[in-house]
Amino acid sequence: MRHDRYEYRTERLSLFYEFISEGPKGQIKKIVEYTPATIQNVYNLAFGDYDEMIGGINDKIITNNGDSQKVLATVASTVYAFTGKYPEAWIYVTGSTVVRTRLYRMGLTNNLTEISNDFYVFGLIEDNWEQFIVGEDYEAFLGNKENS
Amino acid sequence: MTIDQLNKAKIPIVKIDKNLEKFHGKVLFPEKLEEANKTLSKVGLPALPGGTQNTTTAQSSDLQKEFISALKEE
Repeated sequence: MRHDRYEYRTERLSLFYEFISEGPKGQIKKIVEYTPATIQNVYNLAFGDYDEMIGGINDKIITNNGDSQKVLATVASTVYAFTGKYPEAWIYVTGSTVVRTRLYRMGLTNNLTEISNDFYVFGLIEDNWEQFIVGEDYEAFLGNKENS
Repeated sequence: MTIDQLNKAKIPIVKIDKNLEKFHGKVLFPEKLEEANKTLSKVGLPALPGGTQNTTTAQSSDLQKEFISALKEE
């Protein structure tokens, strides 16, 4: 994605990424996680606010720090980093709510030209995967890096 | 990999933070993972365009447990 993004860090396995969101609500630590699913080579992508008090993710709150596009661009960048290390991986992502899934869909739509140069992108609709089409109301998304 | 190759591959250069290894062996979004597994077990994976064969095969949840177990051992 060409949009402005945050700097982020990862660990040696490239499964966890951390960055700091900055906005009217202050500095909020965000964690991006890639977790292996039960199907081999498939990883679930999830991200949320890290809560130091509980030592984990608090995905029930809506931070609204005014930087959703920048956060999405940052998460998208981690997809490039992750698949750079695991080029065969499938990335599965859905929102914790319908609204968030739509937000991800908008992010994909706004950057589809660039993304589709590098990834096959699929959307789930009525229990069927189809190649991502702009305007469809998908329930989840799946990406796989195109072989160069 | 040369700089030119890196640029073409669009792979970001990311700093490594050992502090993040505290998450090894943990699943921070267990409900989302469970939902993902439930959906994927029902719908599977799509075929890649252009006749590219999808060589990914379904594995039992033991593979996931083995992966997490391996992370804990590190």
